[in-house]
Amino acid sequence: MSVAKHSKQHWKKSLFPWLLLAPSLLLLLFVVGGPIIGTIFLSFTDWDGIKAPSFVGLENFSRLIHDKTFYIALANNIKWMAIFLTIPVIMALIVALLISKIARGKLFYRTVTFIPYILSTVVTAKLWSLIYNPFSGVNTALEDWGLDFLAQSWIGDSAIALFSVAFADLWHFWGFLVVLFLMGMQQLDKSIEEAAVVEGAGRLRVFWHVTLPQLRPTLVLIYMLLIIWSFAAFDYVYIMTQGGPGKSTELLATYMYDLAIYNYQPGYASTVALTMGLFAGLVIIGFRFIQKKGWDV
Amino acid sequence: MLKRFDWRHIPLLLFTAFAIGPLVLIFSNSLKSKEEFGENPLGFPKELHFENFAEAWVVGGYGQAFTNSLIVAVSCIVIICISASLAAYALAKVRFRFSNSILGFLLLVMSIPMGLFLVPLFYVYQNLGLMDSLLGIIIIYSAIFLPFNIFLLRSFFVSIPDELLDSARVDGCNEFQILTKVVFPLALPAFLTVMLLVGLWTWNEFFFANAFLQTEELKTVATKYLAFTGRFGNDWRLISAAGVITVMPILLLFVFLQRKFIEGLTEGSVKG
Repeated sequence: MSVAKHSKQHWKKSLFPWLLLAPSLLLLLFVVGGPIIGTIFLSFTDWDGIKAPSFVGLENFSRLIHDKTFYIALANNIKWMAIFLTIPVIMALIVALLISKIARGKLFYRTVTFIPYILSTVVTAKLWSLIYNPFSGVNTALEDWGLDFLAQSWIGDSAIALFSVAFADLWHFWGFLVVLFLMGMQQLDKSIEEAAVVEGAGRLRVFWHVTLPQLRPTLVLIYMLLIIWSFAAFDYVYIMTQGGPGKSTELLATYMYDLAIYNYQPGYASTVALTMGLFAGLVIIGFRFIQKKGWDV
Repeated sequence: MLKRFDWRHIPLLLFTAFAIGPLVLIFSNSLKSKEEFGENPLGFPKELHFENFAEAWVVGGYGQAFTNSLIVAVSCIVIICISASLAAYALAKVRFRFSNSILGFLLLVMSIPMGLFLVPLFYVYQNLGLMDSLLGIIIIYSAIFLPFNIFLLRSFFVSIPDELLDSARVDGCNEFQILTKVVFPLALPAFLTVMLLVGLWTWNEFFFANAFLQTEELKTVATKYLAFTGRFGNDWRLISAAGVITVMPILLLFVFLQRKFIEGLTEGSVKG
């Protein structure tokens, strides 16, 4: 084979994967890659969305540091995350454990708890607005049962509104965690558990010392997903409260959306978005680091 | 011998009630009359008013919205099936430099908040005339749902033995024919999962649809519902009926294909 022909073939061969990747990469660069660079650029500009953006250096960042709403939103995102890292994880873990131990009906429970996850958030968020509605929601039932003292202005009271909205999102979402836990449990080594039971360990001890440590890869994955999603949370707040009452349910994403779409401050909105991206980036790097250290999988 | 009742069913049934209780509520409210909802907002309806669905369908303009959502879903399915399968094959079966970097890039795209590219995209779209058009939203969805499906298909392609591909090469297939004649037919179940997931996501998505589609006639089902709830304020009977219409197609698909849905959604996230 001549050298020319050989090198032509080699060239063709190394081009082949890039041809296959081209449609995907073009799409992603157009919709995601390019605009992200745009966001980085815009975060250093003052722009109303109409005139040409003017470069203002770090002005947006110093505005961010003094922006009270930003801190409220950031604190709310952290509260949101704290809620999601505990309640749905514990609920899903309990349900997955129960499902894994029963003989019949496994598929039924897995399917039914998963249903809310596939439903459109516009509908489920509205549905929970109805449940929280003071005149036609859960309060009317509480009053009928003589439990008036439990009746709350669920999303109208700034002290509990964030929790109420997060709870609606949690209802939508926790069935997904059940399935992730069930998948993780399928890979457990049952013999260790049995050995522990034979040795006389109680149910709780077996769970704490044997089952839970083995589920660590699943837990790490779930925690990574939950942290990333908590910083991007948007749907339920946008539909149910628009950040109110006051700013008690404002999140970074809803704040950014308002700035960009309704307040015509795309430059500053980009700065807020960039900060969100930095949080997500730090989380990913952190978890990759943990994975490399061999702490899981 | 009588089987002992497993106590675990009691807490499980309570959690089940928590999961589907709100759904039962929306179905039962969708069948009430306006008066009955006022008197009895949480109980079951005494008589069934199926005409609520017809009313919600007509005043909500759902015929148009369903058409729009179907156009968007089918177009995205076609674009994603083609581009994701080609990319997934390259990442699963072809050795080349930077393949790990590409995987990392896809993972990054999957994890960053969508707000991070919303603003510039908004203005790029205004300048290109893609704003307020189904084509524009199809392009966005195809891109943002792409990485997940590439991972999904890739994990399937990896499991196809290399020997099979080699023997096809010996039989005289070129690389392209290997894809169309060997890999794709084998991957049909994985393609079905991709179709279902893309259908689900495009049907439910509203973050971008809400920002990029403003004309009533162009709205997808999810954004149409949002506009509907704005227009009909406190008529919860009609809002519930519209909600049932909005989730029904997905719910029906899920009832018949739940295993594929669940496995597709979870496996894609584990593999990524």
